[in-house]
Amino acid sequence: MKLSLKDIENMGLWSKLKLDHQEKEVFLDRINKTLQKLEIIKELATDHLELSLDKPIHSKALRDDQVQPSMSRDQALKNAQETWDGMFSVPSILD
Amino acid sequence: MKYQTVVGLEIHVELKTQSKMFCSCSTAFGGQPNSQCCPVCLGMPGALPVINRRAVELAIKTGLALNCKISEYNTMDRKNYFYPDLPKAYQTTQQYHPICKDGYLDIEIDGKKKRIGITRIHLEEDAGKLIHDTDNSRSLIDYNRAGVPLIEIVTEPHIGSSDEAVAFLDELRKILLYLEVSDCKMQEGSLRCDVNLSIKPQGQTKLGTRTEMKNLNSFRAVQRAIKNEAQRQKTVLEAGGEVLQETRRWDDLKDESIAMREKHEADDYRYFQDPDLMPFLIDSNMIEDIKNNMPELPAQKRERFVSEYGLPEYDAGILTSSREMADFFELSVKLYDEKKGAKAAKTVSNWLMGELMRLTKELGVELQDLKLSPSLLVGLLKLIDQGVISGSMAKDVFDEMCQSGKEPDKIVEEKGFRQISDIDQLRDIVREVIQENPKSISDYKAGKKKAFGYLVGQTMKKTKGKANPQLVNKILQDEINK
Amino acid sequence: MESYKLTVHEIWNLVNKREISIKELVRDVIERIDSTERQIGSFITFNWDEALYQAETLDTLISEESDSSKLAGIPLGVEDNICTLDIRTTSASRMLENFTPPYDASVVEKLKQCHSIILGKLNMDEFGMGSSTQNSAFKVTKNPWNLHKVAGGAAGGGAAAVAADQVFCAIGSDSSGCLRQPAAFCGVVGFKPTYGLVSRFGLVTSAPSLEQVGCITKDVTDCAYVLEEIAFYDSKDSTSIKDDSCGYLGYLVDGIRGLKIGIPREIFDESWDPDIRACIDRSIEILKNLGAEIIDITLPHFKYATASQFIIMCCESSSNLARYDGIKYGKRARDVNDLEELYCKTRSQGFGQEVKERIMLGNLFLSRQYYDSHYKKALKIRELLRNDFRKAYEKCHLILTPTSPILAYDLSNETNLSVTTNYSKRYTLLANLTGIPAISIPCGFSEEGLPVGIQFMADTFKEGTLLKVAYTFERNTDYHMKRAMKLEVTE
Repeated sequence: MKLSLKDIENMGLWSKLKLDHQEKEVFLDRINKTLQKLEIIKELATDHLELSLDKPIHSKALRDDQVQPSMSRDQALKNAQETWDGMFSVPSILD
Repeated sequence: MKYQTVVGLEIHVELKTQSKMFCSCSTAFGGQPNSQCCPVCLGMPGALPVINRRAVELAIKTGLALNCKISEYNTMDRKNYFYPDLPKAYQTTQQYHPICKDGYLDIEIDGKKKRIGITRIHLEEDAGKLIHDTDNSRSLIDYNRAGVPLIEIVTEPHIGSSDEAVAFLDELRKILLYLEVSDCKMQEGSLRCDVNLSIKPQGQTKLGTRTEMKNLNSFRAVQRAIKNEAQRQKTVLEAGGEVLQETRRWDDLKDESIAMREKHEADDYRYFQDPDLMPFLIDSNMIEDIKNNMPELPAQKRERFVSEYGLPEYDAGILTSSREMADFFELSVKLYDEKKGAKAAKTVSNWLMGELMRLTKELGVELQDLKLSPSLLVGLLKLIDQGVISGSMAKDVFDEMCQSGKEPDKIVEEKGFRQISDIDQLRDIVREVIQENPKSISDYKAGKKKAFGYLVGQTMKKTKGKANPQLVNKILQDEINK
Repeated sequence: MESYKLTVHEIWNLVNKREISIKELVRDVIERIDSTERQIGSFITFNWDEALYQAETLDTLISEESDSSKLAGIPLGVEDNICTLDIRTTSASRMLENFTPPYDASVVEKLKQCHSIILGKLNMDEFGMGSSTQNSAFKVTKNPWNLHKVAGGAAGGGAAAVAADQVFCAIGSDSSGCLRQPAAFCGVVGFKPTYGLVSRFGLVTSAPSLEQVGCITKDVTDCAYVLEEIAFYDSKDSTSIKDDSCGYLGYLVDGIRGLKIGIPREIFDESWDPDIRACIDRSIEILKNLGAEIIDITLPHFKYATASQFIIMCCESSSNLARYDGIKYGKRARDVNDLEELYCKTRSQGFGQEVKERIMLGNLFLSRQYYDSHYKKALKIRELLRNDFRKAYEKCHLILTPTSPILAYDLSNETNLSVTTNYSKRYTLLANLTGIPAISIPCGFSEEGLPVGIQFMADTFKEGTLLKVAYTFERNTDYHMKRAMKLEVTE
């Protein structure tokens, strides 16, 4: 199953990547080649197999509901490029 | 054509835990922005989540109260999408193995019972809060709420009207409060409700295209939004149009909803099981433990209040509207009358439904904000029974007592509310009144019964309301008939 | 004194006998790095000031402590995808070029408790995606045995640093053979423990279900020393497992008589570099002579493993790398008009080509249309493979393969496709898919003098058996004694 440019666009949307036309073409080519190599898994019929469930842990092993000190606000914010008044900042998302 | 409204609700409930769903940061409301965050809830590179067991217990508790099956095998899954309030760009939720399934809640609508199916309840985490700084065309983010544990309760499309929706929400809210699962404050966002609504011609089985409505911040908003959206869809269909599958945002001020966006072909949350979290097992011991510690639920309590105390359904309904009120009632009755007789119950009920409700409404507070206790209330009732104070005096004492928390007999003492029950003292006053009002006496003797009331009133006035009214009646009768 | 040439266990002996001071040791090693780093390029960030400062006090501290850790005072390197408090942690990506974690990874916390000395952060392929460390956003790490060859990857920085005597050991992570393959290329020991044995808290991971923290050391004894410290249960990692079978040093015994070693037919039937074939054949003879029993086994689903690992890695990466949105930390694109542009520009500028491609593919495989045919199928293959291994371990204690079918290859601006770059790791990624422990140790050299690695895989939590066979092999050979001579000639 070969991908189209439209598929690449969707993948860009999901991935939040900005692709110009040339990049789209490059990715289309590369990704189609990769998919081709993955075709090998189609040889193997697995539809009749139910995926078994991963071994669970007992709920006793979950964490107790206890509060521990948080980071300081400075620590929380220090790696952010743009902050204002102790908050993280993004371009307005009100239309 | 006549249309039928079909509504399903998705209710998000913030769980009342001390710490967040996947880390040990506090869930307290109202802290300084970003002061309750750590590498885990900020989605820092390398940070890993660990599930809060209390959140799991609260979800099970809710599931049991809503007659659900509790899943033995649970997974946490990732719902992938970008939004600034979502630090990891995925929400950890339960897509494939939700903790509770297939339940129901019975509601009462116009005196009839209706069963609303619960499709599922799943555990997930809340997102941060966005603050819009429009002056500087930016939005600011506070991640204190990010990672607070939530359950999402999804109903079947069994709700047929706005009234049913409100009745359902009201009953659900009561249950959640009884269970102490959440504080259910819609204005603080700890209870949020989305409405899925479609309409179809009466009698048709196939469902119509549905819309999803968000931003409903009160029961009233839910009610208005359902009415409004049903009407909107009807107008669209009758004009030969087509209802679009879309998300709409309710605007409470404008009293209308606005289309946010259509469902897009590329919309795909790419769910998969979270590899950072092991599936977890809920065994029957855990469920039994929780079952054994379940409080009596509002509906059960309502029925019991009717059968055990002989209360009218109406009283039982109001007294069980909160667990605090119901407990207060029961304790008061027990203190008042060891045998918990119907008369005592009704007296207590009258005081709670009358004076208490009036006062809380006037002050805009809840029962638990007042200093009133069952023993104070019963102390007051006993003073009335003993004739120490009159009913109308008692109302003043009640108000004072609720606010100061002082013993009722102390208040009576301090304010000089003590009733005059001394017969000789009262007789002197009554005689004075008779002498001062010869016309009323003759009117009364001529058959004008109203004049008697006037004379009682004059006596009360002279005693500044402190005279024991029963005694005044009796003495007045005696003196006139002499 | 050329103390940088020593091993961890040799240092420990010398320190205990007061024949060397930590201060000297750290100075020696820093000097060594200083004179070699320009050629090798194994570090992204240095932590020398702190290391020197730490060394000042450590000598007295260690002599006072009665039972100091085997890693006390040992200068080591940490791969740059493991968070270090106040030391920049980039994952070799432009995206995290300026990220300084406000916390330590659990494994780093443990190293600090042991009084190990962190000399710096080691180069790698961006977010662990690659097999040659040419995919780092900052520099290419070269192979100390031949500076025209790749060091392998993703943890090429660690392997090269250990091989070039820049550090005594490297702590890194392995999601497809990222420690073992470069260890083989650089002639040192690479070890990936059982999934869950070492905490991943603080590991900047792309593929959480595949990746495991491990180490690169100069010999097997050192490997046991490191494992002894870094294997512990961590309540901050939900996938961490309580395992009481520690005491790894006890497995450092010479003797494998009666041990059954499985040879997977599917792998031995493949074509390998002839020099590798010769080394492996000779190694098998050595093991036989030492009393091991060599038996044929089969891994029927081996041929699907590379595709399965690749799909799972892409899917998990697409989600795990979504958090890099320019808001909370890391790169943020300038001059953007709206939120969508902030996201897209930041991510387009911050990620390299390989990373972008895997994110896109992961999102495709998780989408409704591809979920069953790719993601779910990959999980099923993983399960089938686990069964293959389970059956194999009914017949043998260990499984032997070459670490890689190829030798360290020429540096190039390779535009290799992701799946083909994984060709060199097709035998190592089996342990990541199935969660079992595996070790790569030196087993010879090619004609042109490039190291060859042999890989042993054991069943889960059988680290002890692995260490025993590796130790025995090492005691009876001298490949691990050879040093990357070329480097010293160029000095």
